Amino acid sequence: MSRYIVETRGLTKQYGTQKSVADLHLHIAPGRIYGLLGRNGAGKTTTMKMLLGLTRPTSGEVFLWGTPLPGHEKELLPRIGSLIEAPGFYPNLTATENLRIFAALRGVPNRHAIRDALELVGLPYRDKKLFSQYSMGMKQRLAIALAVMHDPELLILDEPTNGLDPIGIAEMRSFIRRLCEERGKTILISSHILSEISLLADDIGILDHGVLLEEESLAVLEQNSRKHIRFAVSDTARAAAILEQQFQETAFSIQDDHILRLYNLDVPAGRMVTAFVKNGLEVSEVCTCEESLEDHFKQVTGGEGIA
Amino acid sequence: MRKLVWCELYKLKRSKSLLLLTSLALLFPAALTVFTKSSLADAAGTAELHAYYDNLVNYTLAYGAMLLLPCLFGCVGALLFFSERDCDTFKNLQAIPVTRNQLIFAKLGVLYLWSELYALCSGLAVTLFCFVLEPRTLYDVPFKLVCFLLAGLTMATVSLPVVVLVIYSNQSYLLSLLLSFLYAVVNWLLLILFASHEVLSLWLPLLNGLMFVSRLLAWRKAALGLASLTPLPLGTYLRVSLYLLFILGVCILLLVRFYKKWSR
Repeated sequence: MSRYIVETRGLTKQYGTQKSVADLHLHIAPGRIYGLLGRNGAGKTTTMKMLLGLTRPTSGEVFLWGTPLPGHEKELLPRIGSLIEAPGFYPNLTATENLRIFAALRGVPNRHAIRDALELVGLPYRDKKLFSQYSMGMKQRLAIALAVMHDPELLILDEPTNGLDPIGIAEMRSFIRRLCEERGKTILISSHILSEISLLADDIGILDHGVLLEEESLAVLEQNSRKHIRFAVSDTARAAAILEQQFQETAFSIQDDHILRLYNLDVPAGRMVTAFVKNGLEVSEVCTCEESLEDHFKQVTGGEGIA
Repeated sequence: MRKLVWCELYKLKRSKSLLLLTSLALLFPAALTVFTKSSLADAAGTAELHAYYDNLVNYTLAYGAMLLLPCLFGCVGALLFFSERDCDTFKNLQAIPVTRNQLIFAKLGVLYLWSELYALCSGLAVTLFCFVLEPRTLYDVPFKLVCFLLAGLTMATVSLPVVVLVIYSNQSYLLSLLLSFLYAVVNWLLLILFASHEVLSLWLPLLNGLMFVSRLLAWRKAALGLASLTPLPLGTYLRVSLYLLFILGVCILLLVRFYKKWSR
């Protein structure tokens, strides 16, 4: 049994000579919200389409619940709810009628599933308004209702807050959070808006030009971006031991062999440097740093574009 | 598959285009009744009254089923096959998962059902108009309606190439309408030009499409003692059956190929 609900191995999609997604190794753990962050055209939607079997990968594999997707669509896809790109429904039907079609095809056993799904997203049941008369926000809500109607274990939501007003965005955010926390759903959500992902996701994957640049938990990313004292020393392991033994300091992290980050700013940094030097360590740099998440993403992706 | 067909029908709810296209089933029965009603005044006996009804049925089959049905069939085909493209719902169906093949066969099923509905409406309209003009003209109505249903089935089959053309072109509804119109007119012209040609007539879609119905009507008349029947060799029926099956098979193959190509 795989420890990941979604796992991709070397997933690649090539259109002509252009690689839309390249050698993607994605890992989504159960009960987590995974935010796929990337600029427009980074390959987020293509990745999600490949996870749903809507687009065939050029190479690589998709595993859902440890089972390869190709050949197992009939058993795996019913366990997923999805919203890909813009909401697609029949304009001449009402929300209830639209959902009735998909409920029938899915064989949803719960008689109240349509009403429950609509109530969950705040849309009226058996309303006479046709889908063509819906606002963008209502369409988006209906698409979410479709995604959750059959009570799936995994939700794949491609920019679900698109077209929503600020209050709608906040409502959608808390709704997605509730789905994860109260109903134990695993959620993959994509966005090009950093603040959106940072407010929602437990884990973040940064996608740029089809390449997954970083895959990390938000907690780790936030810790790395906290204000800290940065020591550049010749041996971080020995420096750590000195901090623990002589200063009883544990709020630090070791970035690599030479960089140590100390998160407690109320410490005698000068005495620490002296202690390092006395113990035979070379100290080449000491500075107070603060890198916001945004700075981090800019650094990782190499430029602007994620706001 | 039954659920898919139900869903395809459900999608057409409130579709004004479909309602309009289906209501055209009344066009030729109404027009023919108006143009021929004067001849009814000269009809004295029951035989002549029955002949009037027979003629109206034949003309409706000739114009309504042979000329108009292929044209409308293409338009309904466009309505059905373009719905996922235009509403962007194919991703929702694929995620269920519903395969393209299942969807194509469900849509074909609905197309045939519509063709049957159109043919039945034509038959009922002729019967109703005749009843309104002179109730005594009517006879053997259930059999005539069965013939209309059979015409709906066979004419749908010979009209399938226009659906293939529409799917292949993958353009707007207007172009689909023009293509369907062109297909119907070209077939009608071919019928006028080559119907009397011994060899070429064997390949005319419209003649093959209505062959079983015309033979059934002729057989029934003979059975009722109203006319004599010139029997056709068994090979003719076999050839027409194979012709229809061939068209059905090739069109399904092409439909699957083209639909998959642009819905990928």
